[in-house]
Amino acid sequence: MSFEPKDGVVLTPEEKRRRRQRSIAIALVLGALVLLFYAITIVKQGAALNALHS
Amino acid sequence: MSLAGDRHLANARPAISVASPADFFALLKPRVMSLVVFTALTGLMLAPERPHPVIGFISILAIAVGAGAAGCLNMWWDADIDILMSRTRNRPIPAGRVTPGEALGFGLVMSVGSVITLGLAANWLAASLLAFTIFFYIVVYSMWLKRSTPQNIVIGGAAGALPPMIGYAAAGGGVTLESALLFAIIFLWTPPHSWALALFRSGDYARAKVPMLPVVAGRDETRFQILAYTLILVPVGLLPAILGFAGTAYGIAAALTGCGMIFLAFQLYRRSDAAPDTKATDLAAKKLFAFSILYLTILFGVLLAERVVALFLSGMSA
Repeated sequence: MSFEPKDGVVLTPEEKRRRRQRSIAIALVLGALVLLFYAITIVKQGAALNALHS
Repeated sequence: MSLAGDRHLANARPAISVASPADFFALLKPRVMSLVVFTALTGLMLAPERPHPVIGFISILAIAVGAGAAGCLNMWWDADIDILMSRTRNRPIPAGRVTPGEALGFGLVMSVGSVITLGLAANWLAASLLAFTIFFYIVVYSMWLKRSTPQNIVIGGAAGALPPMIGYAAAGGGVTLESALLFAIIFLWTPPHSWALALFRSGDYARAKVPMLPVVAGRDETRFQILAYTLILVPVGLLPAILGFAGTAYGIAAALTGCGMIFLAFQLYRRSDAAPDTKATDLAAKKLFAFSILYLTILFGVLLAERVVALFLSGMSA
């Protein structure tokens, strides 16, 4: 369901398209950051566990 | 303010961002980022310790994003002169696709994020070096030196020379003579490379009132300085082989390409004796500019290749 305000700024189709592109890009970057920090945690914990057992 | 003014403001449509993700990516200066990735990777691979591949990848990514953030903040600061130069007027801010505020916010978030990520993934020495690089490029080079002295790119070149040192430190190698040599090569390479560009773009810099050497000291002095720096650069480029940090292949490559650099710098210098044939001088400057990129690529490429081959051979024998 789309909501179009009667007052205030109404975005042009091009502005909406660009905003959607930016939103998707931000979502992808945030997802990548989650994976990145998960990978750092696993590698660091793995190294710490190896040092503990050796 | 008058009523008419208020009505005008009430009717005015606020600026809505039309920036696409590609515009934000362009703010990171991807071509400069690719050189940073390459030199930082070389530094990381040359370090005596081998980081975990995931940590190595994330470190290089963080260094690249940090360098990109510095480029973004540089574009934010220099937007007023970028619009005056043909080479830079299509950048996202002067072209009106990204507002200065958006660029500032993006650059600051990326700067802080890249430094914290590198600190958490690798170590805080590497993160400190990355933070110093961003600070140096923005505050020392862009805000202070660029518009005040013809030595701007000589001192400011330190920022571009730090990535291999950061890569080396990220791998746990600390700061050593070997990583300082990588820094010195890029530091001494920057003046001939940038002044060659400034020679055939001097009109742009004059229009923007940026005191690049050809604008302030003249073309003859610039040609002499290019030759002088090249004559210092080439022996320093050989030092990794002489001091035993690099192998024979590197020594041969550095010697051959170094001869090429000296030859082209000397050809450019000789133009000062000729009649003021600007087109011929510009051509000689363009040749040196293009070859200088090849020179640095070959030096770091061979260093990297030698290390990869050595690791492969040691893996085979193990």
